[in-house]
Amino acid sequence: MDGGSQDERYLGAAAEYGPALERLARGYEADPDQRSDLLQEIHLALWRSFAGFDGRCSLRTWVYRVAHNAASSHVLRRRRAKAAKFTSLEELELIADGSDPEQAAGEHQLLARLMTMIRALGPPDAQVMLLYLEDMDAAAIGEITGLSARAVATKIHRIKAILAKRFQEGGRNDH
Amino acid sequence: MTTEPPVDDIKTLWRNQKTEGTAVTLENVHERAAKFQKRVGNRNLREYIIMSFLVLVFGWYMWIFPGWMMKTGSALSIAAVLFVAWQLYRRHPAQSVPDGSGMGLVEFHRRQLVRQRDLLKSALIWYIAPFIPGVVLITLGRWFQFHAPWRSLAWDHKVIILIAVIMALGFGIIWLVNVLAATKLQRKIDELDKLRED
Repeated sequence: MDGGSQDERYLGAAAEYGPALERLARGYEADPDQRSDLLQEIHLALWRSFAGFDGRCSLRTWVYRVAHNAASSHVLRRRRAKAAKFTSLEELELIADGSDPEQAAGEHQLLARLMTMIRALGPPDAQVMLLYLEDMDAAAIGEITGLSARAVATKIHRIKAILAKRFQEGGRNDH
Repeated sequence: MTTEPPVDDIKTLWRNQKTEGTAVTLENVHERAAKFQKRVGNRNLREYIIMSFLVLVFGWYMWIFPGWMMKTGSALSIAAVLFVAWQLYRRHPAQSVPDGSGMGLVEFHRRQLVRQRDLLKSALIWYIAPFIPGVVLITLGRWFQFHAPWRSLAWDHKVIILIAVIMALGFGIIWLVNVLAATKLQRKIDELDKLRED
């Protein structure tokens, strides 16, 4: 593939998936400076990847794979530097959120809680959660992640339970 | 009363969230690629400077140390420094995101873990072991061919033994820490394999 078509493919993908990539970066990185850095890193990885894109999977699958792989590399590097640990979906299901449901009613707060939850997760849990939030079905999540259908189904089931518990419990209690 | 959204609406909320609208242009991407290459060049330069300094130090030792053992030990240490420098150069990633970024996320993550595990497991061979022959020869040279004139022979031997024990402990601790970290990574690799096979 020549440099021109690599640029063209990148520009097409960036235009189509730009907002999704930005949401993905927000899901992975809380610090605004680091987030902007991560987003640029994702775009660089994407541009670079198009030198070797052979069309064996869909453009969407390719873009999400490259973006998540770039983001998880970034997060793992940062975690290693800070020696911080990840939480698994299983642990997240068991531990209490600790936030005040009244306070967390606004959309902004809901999103903030959601981000905190995602950022605590390690790969591949965070990736499945982000793809689920992007409204991908189990088959697409399986194709992007490479997880077995059973593993994806289990993880989605857990994610639904966590979201229901964390974001609806407070509301039900108040009715 | 608070109104909490149902689970499906959380997806809508997520996808409709207001983002910063950060524009990344093709020029930004090209600039960043060039900047990263420059950073790699600077990192290599820094390492060459440190390695050159160590070569100079051991070269000076070769000059001033008495006896063939300490001189040969210093020469072996120079060889070890050069070998480790080459290994570092060979093993450093040439780009911010490793190759294969278009592969499935689990496979990519697994490859990263395997790379880290192998790096830790082999650190003894390429990072520690090359220095052992030089250190051993310098220590033997100190024992058999040179004594500090300001100490008695018995005391000098005790000091040499103490230093040798401290060095052996240092090497041992580094090795143990690496082995434990590699074992931890292996557990994560096994977990990922299970997720793919389920």
